[in-house]
Amino acid sequence: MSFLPNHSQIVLRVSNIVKKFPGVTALGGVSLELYSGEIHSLLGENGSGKSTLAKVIAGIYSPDSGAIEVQGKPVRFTSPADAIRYGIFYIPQAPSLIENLTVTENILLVLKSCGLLTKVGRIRETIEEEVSKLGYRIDPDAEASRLSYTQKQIVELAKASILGVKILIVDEVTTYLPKVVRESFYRYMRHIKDEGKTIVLITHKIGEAVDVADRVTVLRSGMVVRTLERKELNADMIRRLMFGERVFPSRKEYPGNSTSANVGKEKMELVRLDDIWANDDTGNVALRGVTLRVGRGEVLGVAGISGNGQKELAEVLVGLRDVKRGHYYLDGVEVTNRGTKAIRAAGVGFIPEAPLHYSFSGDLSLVENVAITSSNNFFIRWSSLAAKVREFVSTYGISVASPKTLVKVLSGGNVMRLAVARELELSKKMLVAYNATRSLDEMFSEMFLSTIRTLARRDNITVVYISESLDEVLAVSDRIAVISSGKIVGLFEREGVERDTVEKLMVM
Amino acid sequence: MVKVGFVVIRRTKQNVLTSTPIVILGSLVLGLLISCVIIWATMGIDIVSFFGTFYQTIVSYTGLLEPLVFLAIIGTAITIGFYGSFWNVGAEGQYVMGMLGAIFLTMFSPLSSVFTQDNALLTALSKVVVVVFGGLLGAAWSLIPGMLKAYAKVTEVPVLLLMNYIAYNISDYLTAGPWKGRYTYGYIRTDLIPESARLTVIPGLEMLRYEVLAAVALIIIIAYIFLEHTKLGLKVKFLGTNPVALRSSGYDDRVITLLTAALSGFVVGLAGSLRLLGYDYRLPYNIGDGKTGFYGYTAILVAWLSFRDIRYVLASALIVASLNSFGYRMQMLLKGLLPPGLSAYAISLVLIGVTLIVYTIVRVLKEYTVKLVIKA
Repeated sequence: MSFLPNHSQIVLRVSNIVKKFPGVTALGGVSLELYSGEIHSLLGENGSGKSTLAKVIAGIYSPDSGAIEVQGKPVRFTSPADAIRYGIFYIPQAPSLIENLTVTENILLVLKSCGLLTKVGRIRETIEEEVSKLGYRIDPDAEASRLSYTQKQIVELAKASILGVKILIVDEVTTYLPKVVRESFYRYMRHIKDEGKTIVLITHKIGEAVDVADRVTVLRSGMVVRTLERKELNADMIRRLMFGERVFPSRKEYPGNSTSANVGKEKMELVRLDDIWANDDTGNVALRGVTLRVGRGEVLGVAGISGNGQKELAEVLVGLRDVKRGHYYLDGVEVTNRGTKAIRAAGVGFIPEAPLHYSFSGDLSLVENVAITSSNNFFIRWSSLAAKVREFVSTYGISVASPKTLVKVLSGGNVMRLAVARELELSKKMLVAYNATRSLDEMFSEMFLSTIRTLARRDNITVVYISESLDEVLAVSDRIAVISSGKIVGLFEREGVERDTVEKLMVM
Repeated sequence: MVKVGFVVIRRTKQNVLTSTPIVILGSLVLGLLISCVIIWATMGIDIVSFFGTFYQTIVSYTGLLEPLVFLAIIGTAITIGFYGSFWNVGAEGQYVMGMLGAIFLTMFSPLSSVFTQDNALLTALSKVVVVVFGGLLGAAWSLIPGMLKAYAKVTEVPVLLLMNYIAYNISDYLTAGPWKGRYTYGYIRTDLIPESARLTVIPGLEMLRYEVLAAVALIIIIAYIFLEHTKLGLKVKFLGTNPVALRSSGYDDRVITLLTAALSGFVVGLAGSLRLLGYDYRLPYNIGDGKTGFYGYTAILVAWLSFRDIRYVLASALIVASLNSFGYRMQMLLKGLLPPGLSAYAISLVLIGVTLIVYTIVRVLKEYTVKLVIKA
């Protein structure tokens, strides 16, 4: 169906873009052409340079060398506002709205910085109109902090449209959206594509690219491996282009998956949450009486649409968030509102979706960030820790110059790998994962999921796997809890659970 | 239409010119040149006498030593606070508390009797006790804003500043009241502490004391080891850069906030008690009227100049100390040339202020390249 229209022309051309960061060459001479009226997918594993390339195109990074042409005219962007004036708009994985401004104010801010002024009354209607095109309704006067992840990304899309976008770059935005929402995003993309606009879809989900893209460009280690036309798209081939000949486990091979090792066996209880109530950062009730039991060596998946209390649940489990009511027992000991210390000391690991917020100090080095959770001796033995970091780096394939490199210069995927490395080791009794694979590529995600199963089976470690990706939850869990509006609305054994049933509960 | 703009890019590589020692020294030279132009333009001092005076300041280094050691100690203390995002602008008050502690123990406590006996070992030990007690009072003084920050989320900066004035007033109250001296020729001040409680002058370096020199060396070395090689020091660094990560690693950020505040105040307090035992020997009245030398404030500049990096505190203290002394010398040179209404101390402020502005700009250039872009 979606072959390129004959009249399509090159709207943007980048040639020989080089971008280096300390110790890492993110882009080593990348050239790419974008046509009008196409959905162009950029695929690649973590640290392959997808986001860097997108940020160069969007004026967020300046390339070290190389040229950018828009409509055949050479340009040099000195800021995102420059790129926006050429109709290039970038939507990052983490929404970039200012939390304490309203939707309208957020959009006005961008309009103003680009020198496009509009009357406030008019803009409010425009926003409602654009949002409704996506099949949603969002109050233009709502503060951004009140919006869910999905709603924020819809506002970003509306913003792009109001700014008169010609090239829309979406960076991993769709990865975690529930299927229904994702479908409406795709419809919207096809719609604006038919208007002759260009969409750059950055993803590490091969299936997604194959489903919606007109062309796919695969990046590896900062180089273009190949650009494929629609008719050439084939998941296996793309996977080979992305990862080379490396193998990774397919889901069927997860330890314990086929053996049903746990069925019928009563598990000793490790976690007991009794009627937990907790507020979110803005003081609104986020958890409304969550009661859960998790056994030793059990993987409990928590499925739900973003913003339904998952973040708060994860924080309660590791002791980062106080509860207003209810009790939390870990291994028979009450740890309610006792902070992180008791819980961490009991051997609980935590892999959050934003490790630079939760786990690491970006201004400190890798080795310092590993030292902080290591043994509590008065003096730090840097040499043995550096050796440990080097081991993490080689085992988990982290691209970094030295253990003394600052964490903030690592790519998102590499930061996540470091978090996985450090926290898996700390998970002596339990691992709490919250959207842990959000910035991991397919191969590493698969390895990670497989490791989780191994942890549970072999080492009898409990895993609470909170994710907005229902696919992953279904693949990895022994039991599945569905969370909606801060309540557990369904609890299923993995055997015989229907995907539709879970999805219906998620959007309930 | 011509458009002018700046392209600001974070430096990925540092070169010789952007290395920290060069940045600090370069700022000093550039700051002096600019100050020279300002002072020449306003007061007609020529470049030869300006740099001649500066040269003399450096050559006659003995005058620098006394401000240097105190700025180094207090600068280290404030830097420790900066590492943990505890912006200790209350060093002035903690310094005064250290002095109060020293005078209390040497003159108004049972311990004072030790200093009238002739027991060298006991006296030496008691001196250590006195110095540490001053440190503890400094820590206590700093813990008040520290606790308000940790448990009531009150920003520490205004509290710390106000605490300085409370300390001044407590000192003045004691000096004019219960601790008022009898042998003071009618002045309001305390009596002198016993001779045996005083620190030992280094022969040939009359502005230094053996004990103070040892303290500076110990404090800087211990502070460095603490920050770079201990778990506690690492926790302070996490507190300063990402307190959420500190919490999620299993520590209570409030406790570490208290610890940072206490440590910073403790080291400042040490400077206060050393100062009293080694130099002042008594408390004057109106102590807030410049009688502290404002070291507690000037040392904030030392911490700032050292890039929040403990390794550069000594060099920064040297720069600030020399500017300070240079300012005093300029005052003599400028006697009679000063515009009416301008105090002589203003010269020191011009020198320090200009150098720090230059330094602040250069510091940005250390981290970023800035290119001017002109589009026709």
